[in-house]
Amino acid sequence: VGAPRPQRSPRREGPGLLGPCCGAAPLRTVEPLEYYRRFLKENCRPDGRELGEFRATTVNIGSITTADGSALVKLGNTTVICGVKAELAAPALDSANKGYIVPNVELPSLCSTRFRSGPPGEEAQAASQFIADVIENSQIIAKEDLCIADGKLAWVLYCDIICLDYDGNILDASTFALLAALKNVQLPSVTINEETGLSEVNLKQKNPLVIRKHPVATSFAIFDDTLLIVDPTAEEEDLATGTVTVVTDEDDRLCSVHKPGGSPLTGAKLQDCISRAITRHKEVKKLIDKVIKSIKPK
Amino acid sequence: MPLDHRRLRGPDESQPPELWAAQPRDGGGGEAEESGAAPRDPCALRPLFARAGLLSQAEGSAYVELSGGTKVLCAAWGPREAAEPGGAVAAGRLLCDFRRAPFCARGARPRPGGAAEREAEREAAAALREALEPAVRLSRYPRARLAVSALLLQDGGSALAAAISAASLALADAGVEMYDLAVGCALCRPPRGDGDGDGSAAEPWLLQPGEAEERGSAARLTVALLPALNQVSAVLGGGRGGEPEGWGRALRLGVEGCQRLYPVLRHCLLRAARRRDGA
Amino acid sequence: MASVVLSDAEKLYIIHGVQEDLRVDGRGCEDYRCAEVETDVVSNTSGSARVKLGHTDILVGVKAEMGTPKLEKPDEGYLEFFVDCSANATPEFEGRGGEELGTEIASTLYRIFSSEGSVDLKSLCINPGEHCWVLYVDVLNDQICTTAECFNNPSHQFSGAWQSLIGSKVLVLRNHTGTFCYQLLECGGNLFDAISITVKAALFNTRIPKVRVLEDEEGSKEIELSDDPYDCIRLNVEDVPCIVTLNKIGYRHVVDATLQEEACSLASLLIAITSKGALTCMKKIGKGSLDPESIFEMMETGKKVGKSLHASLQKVLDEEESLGTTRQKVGFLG
Repeated sequence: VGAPRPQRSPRREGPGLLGPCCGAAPLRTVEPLEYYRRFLKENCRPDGRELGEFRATTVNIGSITTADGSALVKLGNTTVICGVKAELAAPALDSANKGYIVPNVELPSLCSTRFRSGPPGEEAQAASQFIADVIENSQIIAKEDLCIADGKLAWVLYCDIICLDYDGNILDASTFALLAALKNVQLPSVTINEETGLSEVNLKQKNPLVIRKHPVATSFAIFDDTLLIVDPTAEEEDLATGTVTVVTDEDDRLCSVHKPGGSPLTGAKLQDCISRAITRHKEVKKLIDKVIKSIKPK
Repeated sequence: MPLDHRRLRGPDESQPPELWAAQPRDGGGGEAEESGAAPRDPCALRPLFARAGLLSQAEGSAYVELSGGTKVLCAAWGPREAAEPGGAVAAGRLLCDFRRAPFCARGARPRPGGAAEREAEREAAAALREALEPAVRLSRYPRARLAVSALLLQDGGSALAAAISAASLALADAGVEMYDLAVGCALCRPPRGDGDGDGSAAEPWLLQPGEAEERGSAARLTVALLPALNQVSAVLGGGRGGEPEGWGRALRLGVEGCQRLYPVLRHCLLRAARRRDGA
Repeated sequence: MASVVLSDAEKLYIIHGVQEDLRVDGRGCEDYRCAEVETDVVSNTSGSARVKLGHTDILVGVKAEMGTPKLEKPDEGYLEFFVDCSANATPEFEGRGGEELGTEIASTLYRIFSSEGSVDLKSLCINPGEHCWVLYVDVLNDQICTTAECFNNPSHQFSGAWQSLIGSKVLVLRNHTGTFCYQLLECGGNLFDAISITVKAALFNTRIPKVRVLEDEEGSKEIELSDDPYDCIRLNVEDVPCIVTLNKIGYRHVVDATLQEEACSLASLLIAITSKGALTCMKKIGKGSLDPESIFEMMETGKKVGKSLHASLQKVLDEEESLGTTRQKVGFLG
């Protein structure tokens, strides 16, 4: 055990500059941008993908049995898990016939060295807000469906999204994991006893949630202010001059366009993004339907 | 309760549906994987699945799953320059972080960042450090810090023990010099029928209890062992009082359990090393 | 843990001594230091105690407040612990070090008092699901070399409690969220044992006023406090465990270690023993590991030492109680 092995710490990484290199590896460490440009000129990326190609996407549904619904999504190395827990609460005063959906994105220190333990940092907060906006804009679930008794009782869906391995494009993975987990949710049936006014929960009888819309996010990194590459890795995100995320639903309608600063984008380019997002939506929808179908017979 | 501005707020108060369940849950065993009624072999270990080196961003990582639902993921990072000048402190420091996913347990969802949750996580992190420190050759890393992060995805019982095993696998996977792997094993003592557990005679301790067994137990114990050196690196237990002899028996049983888990973990490390060499 | 820096030669001297069952202060491996116990030392608490064990000096104040029972245990009251280790103790208490030690002490106390049967928590319940007694525990932890030096140094962050302690000999514990307060005045090793002894003494001394729940016709409830200040409930502390820490030094183990001895020990076993000799909690602390056989030996010793510790503590407490109010109070700075 613990046999000494060369450290893999970044400081020592990269074979020596004078190593018998094929030209690529040292360049990647010393001049990563130049390294990337050489690949992009040939319309491909260092990991062998084309510019418009997503990483292999897998989804695993219902693996956390303590949650009311859960999903694990892998986008290449990027791994995100979403667990939904349902609780009961009184609806807010100003929306008596609505339940709550509370998303929370966590980027723990475990997923990357760039995050510290403790309260959520800027990126986690921004991601939480993004997910909340997607839920609100896409109407993935009608909040009225979560209401049990007007003004008295409603469901609260706590959607905790935790990143396990951070290799870029956390927003697409998170949105996908949220959607898959919500499709997995089974809520116990609740009735209000007329006499006592108390609610009674039947844990044996469970019903799935009504998913009204299927929002799917597609992220792009902008390279050198012009070139768009889809599904960026962490390294690509760091080198990019900007990112843009497009969320569409199954009717090809835009739910959200998220472009946090960075280099400006022409309308035509944005149109390209949207059409790529629409084809991506079909791929994701197909995948999720397949997975849901495969676990149904059990 | 102070407001948490960093997370989106839900309603001020909410209750888990279990609280309003029409019929009281039958000992929580209703949906448990193993039927609580059938008496089980107290020395039986739950099958353990371990895989090392699965995270791309961590230098070392490991995932441990106990059948019955406990899932723990650990990441480890090799020596970094210590942030604060430790002054005369020559040996390296081992920093441990333990997080519980908000959905890891049945019943109410703990508020992430809440005081009680932070406290529980801090205690678990301290226990993890105590168990790992004797296993790591900290004197080989002067003025440096090593970091371990554990994330409990699902608590199906014996969670701390699983986290100890996973964390030592992750450290070994990161290439950190160690004396041995720290193997964790949990035990619990079920309450006796007459309700008066005076800890006498042969009270059966159960190895690697499940979540339902743990919840109903009168006493719990977590043991960590460095099997090759036969040294106990962690003992943490408490509950209803019992004769020291009874606890001694539990300790012996736990040590034995760790010995039996050791080959599984070693095998997992070997596999990870082969995979890496193959790649 | 507060620690001292020892040279290798000093360490060797202590280790060799322990090997011969002769410690630096003349004790054998299983001998406790002489402990001074005094109860009812702080006037505005429900109960208090001060214990001086060698150079370790601890003060505990207990105050009961009314609260709501926890959701999962509607028919029980509970204890709250707060530990605050301020930076002026040792450099290791600085920043996170002190916080960590504080958390460790608090979580160990929680572990002991949450175990069934140590304190009858049901007796703290007033009105199931609505009202119960909450015993707040605030641990303030200071090691001072010489009292005067620390008091005169403005860079030390004294808590409000400390400030008032300097001003008068009566300790006002209000400003620390708590009302039940431990104060470690000086640390001379064996912190956990000393704290647990002091807690037990303070709980023994605690008097909680009797209350009655009155219910009127509309079903609304009212709580009435007994007029007679001497009409109060006492806690049954018979099953409250004491901690015995066994420090492994060389091939042997010692009880009630001094700071110097703690510096020679890589690992120690902390066990909580009740007066009947039942073990309720055990925990390894320290950077080192222990071999299984020595743990069994330590548990045996712990049981033996723990039982006699309980017996002598109870004797002292009963004696002091019998003196009643006529007793001359020494006070904690006396």
